[in-house]
Amino acid sequence: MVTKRASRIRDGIQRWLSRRSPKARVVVLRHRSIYVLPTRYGLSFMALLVAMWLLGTNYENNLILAISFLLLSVLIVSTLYTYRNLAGLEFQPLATGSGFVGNHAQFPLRVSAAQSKPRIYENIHISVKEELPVVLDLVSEREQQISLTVLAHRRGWLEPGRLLIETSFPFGLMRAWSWIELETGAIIYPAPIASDLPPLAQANENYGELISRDNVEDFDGLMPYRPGANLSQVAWKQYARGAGLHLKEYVGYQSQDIWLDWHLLPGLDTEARLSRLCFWVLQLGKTTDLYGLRLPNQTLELGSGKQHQERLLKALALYDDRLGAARSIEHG
Amino acid sequence: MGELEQISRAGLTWILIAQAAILAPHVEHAPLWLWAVWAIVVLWRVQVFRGAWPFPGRLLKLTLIVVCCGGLLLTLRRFNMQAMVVLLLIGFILKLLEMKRRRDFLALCYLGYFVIATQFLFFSNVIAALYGFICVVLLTTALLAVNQSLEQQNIRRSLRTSTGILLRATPILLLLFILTPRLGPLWAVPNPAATAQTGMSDTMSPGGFNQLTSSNEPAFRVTFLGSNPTPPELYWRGLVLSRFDGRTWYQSHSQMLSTNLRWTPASASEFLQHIEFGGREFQYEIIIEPSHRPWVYALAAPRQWQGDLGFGYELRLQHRLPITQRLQYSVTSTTDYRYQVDGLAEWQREQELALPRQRNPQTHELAQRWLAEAGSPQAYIEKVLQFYRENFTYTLQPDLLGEHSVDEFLLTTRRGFCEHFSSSFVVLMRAAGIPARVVVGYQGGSYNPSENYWLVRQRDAHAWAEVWLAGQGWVRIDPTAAVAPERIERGIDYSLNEVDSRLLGNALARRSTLINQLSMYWDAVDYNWTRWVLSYNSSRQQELLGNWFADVNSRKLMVWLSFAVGCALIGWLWVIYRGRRIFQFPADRYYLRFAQKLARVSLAREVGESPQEYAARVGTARPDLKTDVQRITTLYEVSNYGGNDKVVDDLARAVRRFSP
Repeated sequence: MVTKRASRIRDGIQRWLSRRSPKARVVVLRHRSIYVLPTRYGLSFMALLVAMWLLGTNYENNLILAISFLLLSVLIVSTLYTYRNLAGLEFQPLATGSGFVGNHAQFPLRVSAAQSKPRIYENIHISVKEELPVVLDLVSEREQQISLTVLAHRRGWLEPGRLLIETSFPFGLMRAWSWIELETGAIIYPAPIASDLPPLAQANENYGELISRDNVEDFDGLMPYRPGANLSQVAWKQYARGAGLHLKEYVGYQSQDIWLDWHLLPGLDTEARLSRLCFWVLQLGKTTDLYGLRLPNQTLELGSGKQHQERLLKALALYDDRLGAARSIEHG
Repeated sequence: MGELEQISRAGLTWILIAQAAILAPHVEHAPLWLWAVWAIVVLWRVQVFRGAWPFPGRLLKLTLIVVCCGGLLLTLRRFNMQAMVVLLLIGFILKLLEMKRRRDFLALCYLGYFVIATQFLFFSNVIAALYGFICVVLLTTALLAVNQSLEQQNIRRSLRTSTGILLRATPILLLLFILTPRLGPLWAVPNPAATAQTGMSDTMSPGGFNQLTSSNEPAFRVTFLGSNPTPPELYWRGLVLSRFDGRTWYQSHSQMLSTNLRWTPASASEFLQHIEFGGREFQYEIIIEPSHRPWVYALAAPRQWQGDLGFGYELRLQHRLPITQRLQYSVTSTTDYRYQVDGLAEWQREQELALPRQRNPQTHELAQRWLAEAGSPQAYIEKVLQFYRENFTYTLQPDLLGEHSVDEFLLTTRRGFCEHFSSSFVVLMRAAGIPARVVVGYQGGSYNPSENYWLVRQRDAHAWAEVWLAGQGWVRIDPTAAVAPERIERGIDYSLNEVDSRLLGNALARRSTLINQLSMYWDAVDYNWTRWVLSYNSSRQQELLGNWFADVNSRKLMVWLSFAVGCALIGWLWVIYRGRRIFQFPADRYYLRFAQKLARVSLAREVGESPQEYAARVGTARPDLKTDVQRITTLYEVSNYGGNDKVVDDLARAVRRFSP
């Protein structure tokens, strides 16, 4: 009951926040979305002022009263300074990030001073979720690139959520903060899990015709597999035919066509299969081999290179995750 | 917010500078050993910062605290305000050794602010105020430095920023200072330590004034609101002494009793009704220096007064509490008055005639003889004054007097100053059956023409006599004026010979007009500071605010209110307008102007329509505009996604030329 109400209140706050500072591609902090309240040091500072005021009043000492008024004025002025230390800051995501489950995903941002008059921003802490804050200063420059990191718990499309931007500059007495939400995200690939043998499609099965058999003569012979040998030397086709692991012995390397197949990992659940496929995509990315990927709902054609690898990883990341796929397409 | 646990080099530098500045004014009243402790603590903290030494352990810290408190108990036996301040200083110093994290740093800063406030318990002049402000600037800079990120530490920039904040805070300070109500003491507090009691004592014996006449300290300052009286009229009445033991003059019991003082104008009329006031009236304000005694000074006879003052039947005023800090009061006096013309009560007549029987026999005899020769009291007084005029010398170095001090003075030594003259004169009067008493206070003062006030110093301390004559009441008679008329007419500086002047140590000041002028200007600054800042209290506040809103009628109030509201409204609109200008992107502004132009030809942009969709719709409706619209839309999108200033300029130009 209580938790239900608490979660309702939390949802309400979230809704209110998103109304006040809606998700956007570029967010500029302004008075609608900046909140200012005293910190606990600010509260104890007020207690100090009261003590001073009492001292001045009891001794009828105008100078002691004056210093307590001066410090109160400093508190008031510092409130404005604290507010101004956030107002006019502009946040813009730079690119879609990426990462693996269990690691930190990076969200690169550009923070700049939006207004025309140059102004100094100091000691601003930007944090997301429970991560350590990034400290930002715009003193001699007008913009800066920062990178927020978020621990990725699950595969798919990860949005950083609300960013907490806070500062207690200049005196730590007042705290100004703002919650903003940027239209950005990161694709989280499955955590790679090593498996001894790759899930390679057999040549003469359903997909066999796709495998070209042209360069059989290019190598001199087969050697038994030695652990730790270069993967590009492994004779995958022989392995796929069920001949066991062998190393091709030839001087000039030629690329092979390799198909990674979802269906060849029986007895594993979806995430385990994706993890192993991910591992092999990463491994094959280090070679110059042409490789493709077969998933139950799609087939990714043969290819090689950085972009090809990214496409395959993305397919693994967004497998069976329509919402994430839609979002990632939105963000290009 | 993540705690910045480390204390930066800049933060430590600033706090050490600030601490040195804050502690400096306390050198005078803190024990010497405290400075040794401070030196050790600073050394230790710097070594900790350099990584050479560790933070002291708990045992060591405890030892330090015990040693300091023990030292405090040994050096200051009494627990007064001074002891409390020293305790605060100990905390402020030792906290430095505990300053590990940002939280400790802030606590140290707060202690520092409080210590700055306590320095005003001891010093309150303009210099002290400026110095206090500098201390606040330094400490605030330290507070700022510890709130800057470690990469951006810059000692000069920190100082600039904190000074900027403090200067911006000053107008608010002034407003708060003027407008905040002054409540007056909420509970009794221990008084500042009365280390050196300067000023008038409540007794008078030969040699007692010596300390005063060699003091250049100000006693009080006076501003006459109307015309200024002449120096010979300036008899600042303080205490009236009627009891004599043969050597020393005291207040009588009835004069000491505070129940004999009248604290309200209504109850004072009991005494005031016996005064016949003439027409020579002076209204003046006095700011009196702290004397740790309740005596206040006024010209006879006070008629009206403001302040927490009681009125005595012997025509004097007294403050309710000892004066521990500068105090302001105002009095209206009439100098040509006649008091108790209708006679003295029997007890009072007895009191003003009493003399110790066994003392000064020769004076008694002399008085009887002269009274018989003169015939009337008036003639007798004239004869006595003639005697003084012809036979006595005014000097600050009189000869020592024995048991029959008056006999010896009148017949043998004949060298003295005001207290000798007034004492012997009153004894001569009483011995002749004329009621008489001693009045002590100050006489004269130096006039500061640039600021129109009189400065009365301790060395202007004076004693004179009052005699009661049938048909005339109490009459002031100053035997010193008979001996040294220049003392009364020109002040004490001009009544002294070379040796006495040197005794006062003001020979130089008398000769150098430049130094004289400078010190006069400085005193004027100090006086105005006291008058307008230090003595600003609730009655001054009412006066000031009353002047501003004098004779407020409802129409005037309405005008003022609407003016204020109008100003606030304009200010608000300006802030909003400025806010717009700051926050709206220039590209957005130009694009909105473009959409407004199209809206005039009924092609308004619909809610939620993207620029591209809008452009397509307009292009279909008005093929003639298609190129321009497409160009503007492209420029707008480019400028929104990482365009530079040139693109925005192009957009601005394109929108300006665009006319559907």
